[in-house]
Amino acid sequence: MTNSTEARLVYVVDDDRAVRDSMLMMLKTAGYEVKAFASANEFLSEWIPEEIACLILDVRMPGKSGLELQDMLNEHQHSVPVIFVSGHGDVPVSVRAIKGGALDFLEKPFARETLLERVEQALVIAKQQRTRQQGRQELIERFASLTPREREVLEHVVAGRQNKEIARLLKISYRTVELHRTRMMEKMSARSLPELVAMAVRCGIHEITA
Amino acid sequence: MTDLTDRHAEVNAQEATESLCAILEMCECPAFCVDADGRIVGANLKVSEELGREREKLLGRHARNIDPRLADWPRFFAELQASSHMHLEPVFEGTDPRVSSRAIHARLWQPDGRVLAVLALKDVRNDQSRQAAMESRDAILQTVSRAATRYLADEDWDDSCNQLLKDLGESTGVSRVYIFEAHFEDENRLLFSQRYEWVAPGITPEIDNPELQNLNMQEAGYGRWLDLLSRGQLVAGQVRDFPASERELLQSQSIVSIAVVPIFTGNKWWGMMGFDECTGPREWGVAETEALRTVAGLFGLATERREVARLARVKRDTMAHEARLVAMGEMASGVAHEINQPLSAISNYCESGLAALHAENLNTELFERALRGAAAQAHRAGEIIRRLREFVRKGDTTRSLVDLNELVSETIELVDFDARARNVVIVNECQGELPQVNVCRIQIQQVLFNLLRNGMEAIEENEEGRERRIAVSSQPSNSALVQIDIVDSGPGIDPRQAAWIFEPFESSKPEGMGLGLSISRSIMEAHGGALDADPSHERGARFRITIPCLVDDELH
Repeated sequence: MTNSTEARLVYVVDDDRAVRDSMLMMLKTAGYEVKAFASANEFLSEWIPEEIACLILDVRMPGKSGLELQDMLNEHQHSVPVIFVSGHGDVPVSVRAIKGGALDFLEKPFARETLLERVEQALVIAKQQRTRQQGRQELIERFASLTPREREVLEHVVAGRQNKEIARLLKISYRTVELHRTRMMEKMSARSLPELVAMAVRCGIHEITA
Repeated sequence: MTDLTDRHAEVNAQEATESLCAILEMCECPAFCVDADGRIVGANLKVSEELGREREKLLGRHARNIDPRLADWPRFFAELQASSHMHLEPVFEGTDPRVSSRAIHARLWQPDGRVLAVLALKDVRNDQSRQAAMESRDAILQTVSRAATRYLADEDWDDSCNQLLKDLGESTGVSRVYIFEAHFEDENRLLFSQRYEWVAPGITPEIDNPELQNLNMQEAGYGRWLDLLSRGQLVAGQVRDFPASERELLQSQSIVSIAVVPIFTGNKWWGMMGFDECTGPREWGVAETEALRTVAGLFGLATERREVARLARVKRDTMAHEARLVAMGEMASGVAHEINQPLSAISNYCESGLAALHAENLNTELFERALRGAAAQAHRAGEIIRRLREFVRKGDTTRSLVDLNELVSETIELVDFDARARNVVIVNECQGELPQVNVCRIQIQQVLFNLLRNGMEAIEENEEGRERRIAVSSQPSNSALVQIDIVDSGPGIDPRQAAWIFEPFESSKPEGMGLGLSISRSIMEAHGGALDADPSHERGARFRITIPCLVDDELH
């Protein structure tokens, strides 16, 4: 069962003790590291967002329901792949869960293979998300290393302005703009203008500078 | 213009009347003569004294003018012709003093080819036998009033019947008192079976006599009895005076004298109540037989009341059962979810077990845990199904000793998944020991179930952030009652609705049938308890049920 993904952490949130325990056993025999919780709040108090993991979530629970937990995670832009499990083949609920970004909506009881496949998929996605997020983080750090003037230049460059126009707008010499631009490109590790624009979009520089 | 022969006949008739009146004058009591058509054809002067009317004004008039009991003359006359002697006892209950104070003796007289009835009035107001009759009647009526109290108390029916017969036997001093019930074998064969009997000391009981079970009275030669009893009349007298066909069976039971009164429930002839005297001849005075009739009437009423109560109970039980089915239907998706949980766990455990089995090194500890888990969850699923099936089971209305705290816990378990789905917490605050109650377990559970579901539905209306909680608590309210309170944190009962929430088909929920509370209340009342709402409760609604508990001596 073991495969190349190093990430093996699965969170299980289900209020039914037996379902939780049996799911834990099933995932452990498949070689995963499992952390199981009886409620959304218990999960939230233990969860480490930085870890690469996926979440198996029961829809119906006392206190915060599975869907409410999903909404909450989305609001905080915590990207953890969610697999819903439910005793109910409730169509509106499953539609809502999938629209909310859930990877799948499994009806209880489910086959072990199905669950393990989904978990594997979810962990791959989690890893990709993590890589992407790490990239974004790095960009943000690079961006942070820019001087105020270099940032201004970056904004104008990304907005598609020529050096001459930038010099006029910033009331500095054409030569100075060229210098700032070279240093900015170096600091951002951007080899071309299109690459810089892509970076700006990825880490939402528009939003940061807005 | 009158024909001569007619005038002749008229003179003859007048002479005949005069001679009749002269003969009647010899009687010591008021006496009169009536022809086949009911016309008074002669009377002595004591009649006109008694009635305060001139004799001449009575002659030619109908006999009912002398006594209302003679109003149905054709029937009276026919019976007189058949037996040649008649005796009408005074009827004490009548408001008419002529009827209440006088007996009528009648006999057939056939002078010169005519058929006439001679009747004598006998005042019994100062009669000693009447005094004795009244005493006996009072004794019987006293028994009746005691019996009535007992029937109203609705205690054990068989005990009540046996006690009634004993009281009657002792107050009348007869040898046996018994009750027969009429029943049809098929559409036409009316049979009688003895149901209850009391016998005086030393008298042979007949309750086990097979001849007195499924007795076809018509075939056994009691057609005369059937005729009298079915018309509401009684059969009374000395067995030796009865027709031969009737004597054998009676004498085989050593009956010397007997009185039998019919029992009617409404218009239906239900059966009969009989009184045997085995020790010697016994006269059945009218006062006494009237009292016996009253007893039979009371018994008929009690039987009817019991039947009405039984039908009401059947109806209530049926409705309660239907309501449970409806409730189950409403919970169907929740039930499916509830059963899915253990099934899902079983599936997980089994697949884990299989995976463990196929692993390079069999982890026996894990394998065993998987099997144990699966087994336990299979039990759990079975338990859920048992609980549900028990809840919707039909017809089980037998009462048993129940620990209410235990019943509360079980009911909370029954609605628990529903509560979880609705995000409501049910807190069981029942603590300590309660006296046991004798109730129909399923129906009391149904009441608790209804109240818990009502509470949960009320909480659905709560605004965000408001507590979602139902608390159930129990305590003995006094030495004779146990009470259970169900308090929810919903919006409470609208005081305008408080007046009708217990009415059937009144529901504040659009999808509700509006039967829950009305059925619950009728269940509690059938148990001698109550169900009340407290609309003035500060937060949410409080429903309180009270159930009478058993006092110590009832336990044994």
